Amino acid sequence: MRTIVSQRWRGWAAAALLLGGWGAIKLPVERALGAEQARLRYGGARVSPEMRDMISQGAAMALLSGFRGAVADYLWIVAHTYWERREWFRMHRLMELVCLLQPRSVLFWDMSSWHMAWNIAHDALNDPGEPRLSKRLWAERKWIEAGRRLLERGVENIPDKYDLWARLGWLLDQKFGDHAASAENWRRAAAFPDAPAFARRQVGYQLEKAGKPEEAYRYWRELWAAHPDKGDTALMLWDRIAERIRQLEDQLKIPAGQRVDTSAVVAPKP
Amino acid sequence: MSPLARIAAIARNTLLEALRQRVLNVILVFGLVVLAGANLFSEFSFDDQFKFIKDYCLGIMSLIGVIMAIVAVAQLLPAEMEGRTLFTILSKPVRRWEFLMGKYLGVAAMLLLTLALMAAVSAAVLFAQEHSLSADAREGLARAADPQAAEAARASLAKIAAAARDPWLLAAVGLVTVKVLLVAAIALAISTIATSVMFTVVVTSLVYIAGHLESTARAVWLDPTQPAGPAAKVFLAVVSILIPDLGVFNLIDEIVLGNTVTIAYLLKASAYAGGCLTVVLLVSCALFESREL
Amino acid sequence: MSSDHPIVLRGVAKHFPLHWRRGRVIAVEHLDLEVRRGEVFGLLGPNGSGKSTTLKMILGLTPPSSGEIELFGEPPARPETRRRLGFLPESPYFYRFLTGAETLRFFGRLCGVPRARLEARVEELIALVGLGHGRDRPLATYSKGMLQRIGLAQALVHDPELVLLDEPTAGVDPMGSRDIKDLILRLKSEGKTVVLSSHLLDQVEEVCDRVAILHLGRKIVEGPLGELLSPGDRATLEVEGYDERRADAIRAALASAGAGLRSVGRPRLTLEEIFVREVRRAGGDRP
Repeated sequence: MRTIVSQRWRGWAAAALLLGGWGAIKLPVERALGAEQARLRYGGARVSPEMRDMISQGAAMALLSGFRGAVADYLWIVAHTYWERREWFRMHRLMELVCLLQPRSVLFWDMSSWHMAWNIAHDALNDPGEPRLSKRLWAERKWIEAGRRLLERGVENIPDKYDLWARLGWLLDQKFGDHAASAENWRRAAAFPDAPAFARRQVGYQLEKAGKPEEAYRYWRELWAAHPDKGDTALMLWDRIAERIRQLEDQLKIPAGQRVDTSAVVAPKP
Repeated sequence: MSPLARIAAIARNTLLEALRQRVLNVILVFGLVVLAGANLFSEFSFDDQFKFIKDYCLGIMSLIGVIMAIVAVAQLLPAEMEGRTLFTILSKPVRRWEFLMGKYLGVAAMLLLTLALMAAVSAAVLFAQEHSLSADAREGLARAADPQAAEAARASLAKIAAAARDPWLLAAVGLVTVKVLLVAAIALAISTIATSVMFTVVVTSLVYIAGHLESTARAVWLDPTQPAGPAAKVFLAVVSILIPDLGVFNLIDEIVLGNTVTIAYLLKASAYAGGCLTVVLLVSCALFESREL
Repeated sequence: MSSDHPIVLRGVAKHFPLHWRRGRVIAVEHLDLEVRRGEVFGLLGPNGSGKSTTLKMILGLTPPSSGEIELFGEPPARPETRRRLGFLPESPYFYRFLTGAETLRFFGRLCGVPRARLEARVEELIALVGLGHGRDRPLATYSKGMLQRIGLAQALVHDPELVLLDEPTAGVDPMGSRDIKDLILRLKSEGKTVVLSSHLLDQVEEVCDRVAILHLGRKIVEGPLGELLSPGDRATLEVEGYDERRADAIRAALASAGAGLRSVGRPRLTLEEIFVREVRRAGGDRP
């Protein structure tokens, strides 16, 4: 005899079997996909308890539901309202959070560190509310340091693009005068095929500024040799590089026979 | 006549109903919101602008898509039962699973149409942005005094074009679509045992959230070093087994940021979605077959 | 076996379990029915007597808790079997966004009406039920009577042998009701079997060949309408020159036979009278 109960059971039993069977199959598939995704994402952000406190509950929900980019953008815009109100500490905190939300975004690391090391630092130095110069200088240093820390974390998260290496090289050169470290970062940036031409020249310039003429000369020589065709002078400014090479050869007293032949390159007419 | 023809007739009818009732309004609202929102970003640099527009459009597509999927599916069966149209249809030579699949496919077609239109609006906004930004860059190129400035202008032109016409954005739209279709199927399965629209909406939303936490639940469950009591382990196991991992489709951020996403990964994720979809639809049919009407 | 009868029910019962083990509701109990080919069969009874549940079981929409149902000798859950029947649900609601013609086209596709035949069939049916003015109007604008007509049309879209009509005349004005009754008689004349349910017993008197009356899920009467309505042991005399004062004398005269008897007719009970009588005989409402 067919009863309602047995009918109902049949559907539920089939559903339970299907879901259970699929569950067993899907688990290893999900693990593999998860591992691959983590690899693609590289250092994907983990939501730490501290971070959960910093963002509102609605934002946390959105974060978990796949709107991380939109949440980060929103907070980024909020951070700029702090800029307008000159609330530097809040701005710093929020920008750090935005970077944490999307650690694979060049834009956020780059702009955040720029705001800290250039804009806020400059503002702190010229703070009309602080009469003592020493205090203002100390504040400027502190903000520049904050910018550097952001960039250093940035390159940890995005070592596979030239942008942040170049930014760090720039910051170390301009704000710290640490030209050796700057050269090292420019060298990392210049190694990327899509890096701009000036990144390659910066390596040599920074080495020279760091007081390492031998290293600088070796670098220019290698760069010169690596590009037998000098057709892109307009871009690479081979004429200027030739000038650097000649000057260093004079300075280092390189014998005539060992010097680089730079005669073929002439400066383009402007 | 084959079941396919009957399923197609029901699907067509469901799509027609949606079109004659509400869908186009949603698109209109989406278009206005996106256009208004895109202007909000205009004070930022072009890198920001493109990222914001993309995050924003994909975020809204995902949000509207998921909400529409849940709400539309939740109403399907109650509307048919209250209106007793269900009895009229099932008194015809139509099997219950054919009816259910017809309904699902109709809603799926509506969702696809909606997402496609939203994607088109997004693309239009991106192209408009590209147009205005590259006009500026071209002006800069024309005025460039030295090769350095010209190089910079050319580079930014190329960057603008690359940012606006990133083909991987299609993959992002694809991932949103797959996720929305899967959520619709989950809502369908839940609605076959639901007694009210509210029940379906609430439970599906919970499953949706749990779907994004599934990978965490699975990790804790399968990791013997994690401190969790037996009850917690059982709970985590049930969540891991029953609920699909919706985090699999969360590569939108990466795509917008221009990070490497592989075709192989997309194919695997699609295959995973296909498996989930098939199982959830089969479960829906099994449950609906035994439901007392 | 008894495939000569389009519908056979044997000992059919339907119980609905209540939630939380509060017992169960008995919708239909031990129902035997046979509907014969080519007849108009009325399934009658007040609201809640189990008519709609019985129709649902015949359509395979809900399985019986016990007993057997045969539709053309087959179990009713098979879709192929349902191709041979058409169904008009009680106060039918269709998709309000479809026009009359679209509604018929949709149901025609579901029933597998060949594409080539479909358009002609739709026009035929619109003419048959008199809905020319509603052809291209959405159903949201239809009156109750028009909905009933489109409901009838969709039940007939695939030209079925058996037509089940749930409360076909409920809520329809007298003219519409007349049209529907005419249509039922026309279907019968085309050799189709018609089963209709109604709680308005007298509305279907003139179209039904046989009826069964249900009360609280039980069948209390079944038989040919003629036999039920015209008990054989009574007659009506039409008397000429009748005078109230001499009624006794007429009666006496009649008793001895003779006085100007013009015609003898059969008295008509109404189905309502039969229903009330049978409910009383069964011992009134069950608890």
